[in-house]
Order: sequence, then structure tokens, then C-alpha cells
Amino acid sequence: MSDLHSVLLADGDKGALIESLAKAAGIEIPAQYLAEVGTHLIIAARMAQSVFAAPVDPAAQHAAVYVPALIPTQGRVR
Amino acid sequence: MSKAVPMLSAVSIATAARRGELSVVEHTQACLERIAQSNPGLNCFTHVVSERALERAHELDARLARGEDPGTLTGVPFAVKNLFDIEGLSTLAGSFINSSHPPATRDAVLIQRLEAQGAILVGALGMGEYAYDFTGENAHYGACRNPWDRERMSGGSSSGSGTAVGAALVPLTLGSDTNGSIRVPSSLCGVFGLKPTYGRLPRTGTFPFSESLDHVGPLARSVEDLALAFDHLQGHDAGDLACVSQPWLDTSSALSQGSEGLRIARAGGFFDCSNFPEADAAVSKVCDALGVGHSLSLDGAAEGRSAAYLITNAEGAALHRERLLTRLEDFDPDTRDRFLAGSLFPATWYIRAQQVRRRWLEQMLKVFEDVDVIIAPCTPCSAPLLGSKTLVLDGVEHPLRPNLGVFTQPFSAIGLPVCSVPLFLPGAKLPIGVQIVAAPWREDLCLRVAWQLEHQGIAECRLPPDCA
Repeated sequence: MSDLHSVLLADGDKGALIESLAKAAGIEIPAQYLAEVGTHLIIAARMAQSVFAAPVDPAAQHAAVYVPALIPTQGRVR
Repeated sequence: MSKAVPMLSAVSIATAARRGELSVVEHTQACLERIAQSNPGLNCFTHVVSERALERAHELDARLARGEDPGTLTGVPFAVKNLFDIEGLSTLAGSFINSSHPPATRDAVLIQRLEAQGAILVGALGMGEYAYDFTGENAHYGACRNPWDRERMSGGSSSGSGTAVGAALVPLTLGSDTNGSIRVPSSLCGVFGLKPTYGRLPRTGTFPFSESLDHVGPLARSVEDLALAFDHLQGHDAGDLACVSQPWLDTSSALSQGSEGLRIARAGGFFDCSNFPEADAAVSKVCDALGVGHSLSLDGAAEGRSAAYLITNAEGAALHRERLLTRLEDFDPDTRDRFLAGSLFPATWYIRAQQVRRRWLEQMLKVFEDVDVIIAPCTPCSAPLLGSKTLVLDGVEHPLRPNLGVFTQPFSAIGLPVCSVPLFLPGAKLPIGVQIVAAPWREDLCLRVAWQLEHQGIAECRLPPDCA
């Protein structure tokens, strides 16, 4: 499924694909909204292409949990 | 007692009130009158809590008369983006759907904190639906208009927060920022805005958007007011699981240190804005004033921005799934279609985005070993005309809504503190902002540089001609 972005970014009509994705997600998208939803999904696909192109070491980055950075501060305790 | 002047700064109002030189009741009445006169044209308030505000003003005057000191924000009127809970009101978060929610039973924690120092809540402010917006347009409540040109966008999603301060209806507002929603309206409306470090201020009592990216923070007409508000907003609250217990940072006392001794660099690479003349000129003006001679490529920013986009889309869609299933027709079409898109992509995109985000943070933490502050563009341009749908980026036309925040997203993606400062370029009729970015938990450095720029006359919050 990680290649979904490649499929979305390829030439051609995506209407049927988007309808299938919506069905799988359990969401009914009225026909008149499909084009605009498709536009936004293709923007997201470009973003996905960008993050999948970024070098990430799976061993070092195995956790998909964001932890706020904790570094020393110059503040004082109130 | 002198008659109140609504464009007084928060510090001036509180100082005068505490000295007995200003009647809090008179000042609050004048503020409410100004809102009543101006709001029909600006459309920034969705609720004005006049009765509550005047009741509180009377209480404060009574306390002052008894010789008590209500706090360093005594008598300061403020308003909040309508995703903050206000006791007795439904928390709209810019939506029609939430208007049927029961009224909040208590105020958001940050409202309580400002009022604990004597500030007076005067109302709730308009915003883009569910905060998924950079424009200030809203299909349900109408566009919040820019105080500098009412045919132009205020920016979003804290549109009312930017306009209300920009038009000097109140000296202080609260907003939220997931991808740039404090900084974009600050830039377009010409005010100072602070997006603190992720986890610094508690979001308790606010309606969420994308929990791993949501921040809350103040907007004001001066750096001194911004710092004063921030100093009183700080503090851990267990109601927000992302809120980190950190030592209190006294930013107000640090302001006068200015930029002295700080290592400052210009953001290049992804943030190179030579294709956007206004943004480029604004950044150059700031860098020239600060004597900044070198730029950093900040590798990883583009991917960090992509990660923020996907995380927002996925978390927002997940939050609203039930509403998408049951009340699709009640959404603003612009947010509806993006939430629907976010419902359709696989979890692998989201997980990869979180991994890339972590990598981008690590890259930036390394950068901050050698510099203290980074100067970057805020918005690619000054306020676009209302109704604009596209923005030209690098010669290519892109949808406007997701791209007004192209330069703000990378920094909020990793929770860095950022202060947006307003500039007026020579001959310009509209303001534009510049971002001052520091390492996590160093809001003091952002504010010191902002203060320096304000004192040099480089950054300034002017009064729009129609708002005098």
C-alpha cells in the first residue's frame, strides 16, 4: 500500500480509485465531491512521495511516537 | 479618572488601572463600544460577553478601591479564538456542527490564568472551521476581514485573533497554531504573535484539531504585551497530556537584553523566498537590522513540511470521522473535502511522516548547537484578496489554502518556538510578518530579538487608518 502515492500521482482518472478507497474506509463520498477530494488526495500523495524519499533509518526511527524535545532551559522555577 | 482609549497597550492599561488613573469599568465600556461599532465591518467576534466583562470590571474597580492589587493584567480586555471553552457558550471551533453542543461548563485553563492576573474576557473570536484554514474565510459565519483592507484575507485559522488585535479592538488575544494559525494571521494583520514550544502551554479546555501538532499562544500589539501574557500563561496542567512541566521562563525581564550576544542566521534552502519579493524584502530588512550575514540551508525542511501536512490531514480526519459519517453536509466545503481526503490514505503514510518529523527535529537540534535564533519568512506574500483560490509558488500555481503556511509548517511540525513580527516595507499598504525561531523552550530568545526589532523601528504594529 505504500506505493499508493505513486498510483495517485500517475496520469489518468482517479475517480474509481478514490471511490474504492472511500468504500474501504467506510465513507460514502457523494459524486459531486469526488473531484475536489481527489485534488486534495493528490496533494497528500505528493507529500507522501516527499516523506518516502527522505532517508530514514528504520532501526533508529522505529517508533512512530512523537516526543517533545527536552533540553536544558535557562528559566527559573516560579 | 481619564476616559479609556482602546488602543492602549496591555501594560499601559494595567499600570494606569493599578495606579488609580484609569477606571476599569469605563475602559471596559469603551472597549465594548468599540467592538460594537467595528465588528459589523470586520466580522471578527462571534460572541461578545458584555455582561460578564462589565461585572468583572466592577469587581476589579472595587478591589482596587479597597487597596488590593488584582495583578499585572488588571483591566486588560482580551478575547479568544472560539475553540477555547468559555463558560456558558458552545465551543464552536468555527463550525456550524458544534453550535448544537452544550455550553461549556468552565473556562479554558488559559482564560483562567489571564483572569487570575486581572484581565477581562470580552468575547469569542471567529476562526476557520475546525482550524483547518489559513485564509480567515468561513462558509458558516462569513469571512473575518483584514483590518488593513476589508477586501483581503485576515489569515487563519486564528483569523479573529489577528483582526481584533490588528484593529486595536483589544490589546491581546489568544489563538491556536497547528501549522501556522497564529503566525499567518499575525503576518497578514500586522501584529505580533507567539507560537510557543509544543507542550509549553496547556490546551486544556480547547477544541482540538491535530493533537500532536496543536499549540496555543498569544497575539498582541507589542512585544512587551506578548511577553507579559506569555509569562502568565505558562505552567503545567495535567489536563493536557502533551503539556510538559518546565521551569517558568521570565521572558519579560529578559526583553531588554535584545539580540546582544545571540548567534543569528537567516534560513535558506526551503525558506529561500527570492521568488516572493515581499517576503524576501521583509526577511532582508530584519537580517540587515540584526547584522545577520550568513544563511543556513536547513536540510530536511521540505520533508518536515510534508510530514506536517500528512499528520495534520490524518489526525484531523480521524478526529472528525464520526461527523464526516453523519453530518457531511454541515461542514464548510473547503474543510470537508480535505478531511475526506485525509480519511482515505494508509497508515504507512502517517507513520512515515512521524519518522521524518523526528529526523527533521534531530537535524534542527544540531543546527541550534551553532546558532541561537533563525530568521525566516512567515507568509509568502501579504494578505491576498478574499476569494482567491490559488497561490503561485516557484512559478507553479498551487491551492492557496494549504500553501499560505508553507513557511510556517516546518517549524510547528517539530514544535519550535516562533515569534512572528510585523513589518511595513517602504510604500507598502499591507503588513507582512517575519518568523523568529529558536530552539525548544527558548521563547525568551525569540521575544528578545522581536523586542530588539521593535525598538529599532524595524518591526511595528501600526494602527490601520479605518481603525483610528
